Amino acid sequence: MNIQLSQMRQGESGKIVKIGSSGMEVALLNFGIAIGDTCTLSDIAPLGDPIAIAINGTKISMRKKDAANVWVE
Amino acid sequence: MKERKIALIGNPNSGKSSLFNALTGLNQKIGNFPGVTVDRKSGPLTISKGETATLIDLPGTYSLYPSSEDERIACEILRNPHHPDHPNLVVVVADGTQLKRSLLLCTQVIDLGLPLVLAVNMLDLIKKQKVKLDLDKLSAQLGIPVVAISARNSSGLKDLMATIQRTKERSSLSILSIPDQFQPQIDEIKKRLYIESDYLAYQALLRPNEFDLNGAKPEVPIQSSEQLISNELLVRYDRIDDILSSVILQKATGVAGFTQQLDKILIHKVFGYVIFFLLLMLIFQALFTWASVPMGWIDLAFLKSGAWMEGVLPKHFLTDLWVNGIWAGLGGIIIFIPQIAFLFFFIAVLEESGYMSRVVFLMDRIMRPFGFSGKSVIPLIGGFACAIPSIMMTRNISHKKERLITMMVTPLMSCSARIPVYVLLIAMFVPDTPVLRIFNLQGIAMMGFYLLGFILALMAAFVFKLILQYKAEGIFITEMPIYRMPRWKNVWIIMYQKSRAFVVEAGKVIIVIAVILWLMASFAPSGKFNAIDAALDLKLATQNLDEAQVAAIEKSRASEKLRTSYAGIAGQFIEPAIRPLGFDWKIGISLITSFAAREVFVGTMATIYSLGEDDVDADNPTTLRQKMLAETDPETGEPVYSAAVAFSLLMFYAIAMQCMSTLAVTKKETRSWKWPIIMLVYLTVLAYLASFVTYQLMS
Repeated sequence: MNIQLSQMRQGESGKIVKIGSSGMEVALLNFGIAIGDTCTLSDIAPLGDPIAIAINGTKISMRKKDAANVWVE
Repeated sequence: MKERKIALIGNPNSGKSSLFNALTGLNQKIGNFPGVTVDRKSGPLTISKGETATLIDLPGTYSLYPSSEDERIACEILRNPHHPDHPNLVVVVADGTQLKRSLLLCTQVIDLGLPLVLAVNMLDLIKKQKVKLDLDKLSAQLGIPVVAISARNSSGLKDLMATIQRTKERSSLSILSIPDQFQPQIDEIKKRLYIESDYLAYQALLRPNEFDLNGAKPEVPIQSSEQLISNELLVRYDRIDDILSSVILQKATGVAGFTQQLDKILIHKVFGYVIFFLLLMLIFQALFTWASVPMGWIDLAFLKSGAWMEGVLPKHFLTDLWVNGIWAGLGGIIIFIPQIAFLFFFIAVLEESGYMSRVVFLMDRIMRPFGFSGKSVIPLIGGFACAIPSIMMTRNISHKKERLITMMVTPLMSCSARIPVYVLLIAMFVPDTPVLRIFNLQGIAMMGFYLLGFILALMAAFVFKLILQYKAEGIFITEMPIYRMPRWKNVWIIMYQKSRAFVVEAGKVIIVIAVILWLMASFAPSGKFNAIDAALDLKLATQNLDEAQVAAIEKSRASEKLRTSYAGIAGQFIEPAIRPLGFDWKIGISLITSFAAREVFVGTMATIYSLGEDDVDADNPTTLRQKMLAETDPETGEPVYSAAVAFSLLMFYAIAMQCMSTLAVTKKETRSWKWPIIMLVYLTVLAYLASFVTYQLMS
């Protein structure tokens, strides 16, 4: 089942299957993140936003609004 | 032959700046790229005995498709052969632990057809993570020289220099094959721009706004250009994965355990904020307690040296201009250096260690409702020391609206130049009564004004958020790098550079204002000063006075002259406007002179009330306070300084925009007169209203 990255719970992992906007896709590609990569939701800021994912040996933080454009399974 | 130009380029956090610092040390020159507020760092590079080059540190970027102004500059320099900084050789700095991502930029530079050397950095970390790389294979696959370095330990730099020396050619390979259907347009653009690289022309096709195409717009490709860009990046990553499969002999495992463990505490729901709060307390302690020691020395040094020069130099108005205008103005800037240095010490350590991105992570959601970004926290805190470096610091807020809001409200944070004014006025009317044993009423009043500034800043930000119209927010993605020990050399260099930038930026303005104010205070309409001198000289000559009385007359001479000077006239001129706030023309003079720097208020008041320098101690201005309290209105006989006046004045100083240097820096950072003017107007109106209400309610 596909869910938005912003809906994942802390510690959950998933494979990126779809990126909703090409702007977001390019932004993620700049960090070396592409569809097919597996990421783990590593941290959620105390107020629930932003979130951070662990991927390819590093951590990337993003606002929830942008994370809602990324779908994982 | 002209000296070679070598550019450093790499991802943020790749250790590019460390490498630049290791290669150039303190010989670097910092300026701006023409037309934009992006730092341009360059320095001489000794490649070998007798061969030097200019090294330019380009802003960090992830790819050659820029998404911020900094990145645009980096791309522009590599793309445009006519740019004055266009390099003969590019050194791509790659984070060895993030090779895949780093190679994206590297393959793009290869396709631009520029000669390049790939420096694989973080050798120390690679070893620690037990990663094994075959860099010879990487070099063969990419067709470029590859050097392993550790900028941190300055290892591999000799090897890098030797490679730079012999590298003159570009790679014979190209990584991306551009879809055939675009060939006609690419040929057209190549002809138009006189360029050779197909890939460069392809970039111009996809991002026409970033190129000067002489007005011609290439036909928009069928697919949207962003889609084509992401296709290109995907193709590159495929190729990179292919290459890396034979280069990376042993992989690292996940995010370093140490970082993961530390993050559990540092961005914890409760402890995260507790630790951040404690850290803020430490920064405040440094800014206000530790820094006050060297600030005291500087103050004393300028006072003593000024008095000494006045003694040895001939009695002439130029001496007076030098000592009381320029020298005193200079002292007014230098005194802030300890605070600025401490501030940037902490900021550099936070950045270097990787903690800063966690602060942003913790604070972003809290700050957003007010129109700030998580990155606004540090400039706002810096505002408690001085607004000038804080406004310069907002550069790293990528979102334009959030950056503007941060700049506009930072002057509301009570900067340290307000402290002497607060101390003087609060002590006049707030009793020194202990409260709950550890506090006292004066301290609480002082805190109240700090809080007032902070709350007003939040409110003003909120209003700006509603008023300012900007298109949809940018995408907010940042890396949270692994925690590392700060590199002290980088920390010192940042402290040194920022302090220098502060002295230069603020200095230019303060010296000019100080001279203008000196002129206004030292000259009067013809004959006025002579009349005062004649009257007082007559007094001195005819009456038999003791030493103390002579001194008193000399002091009143200065006071009388200030009253009749142009500054005095200006003070009287604005009196009708400030009367509703409870201010008389004497305060008016002080308001005007405060435009150089707020703390000048105390000195001006001292002169008006005929006090010598030795009677005024900013920390304990008892004499001045008594004089002011004793002052009565010549017409009504009522005391001039009531609690209402003092609090009205405090309100005014807490809010008003009385710092020319801040306005000048705002002008520079926004590259327009609009924002400094709005800043001046809204803060002055706000201050006037607040003072008016305070005075009317209290009197």
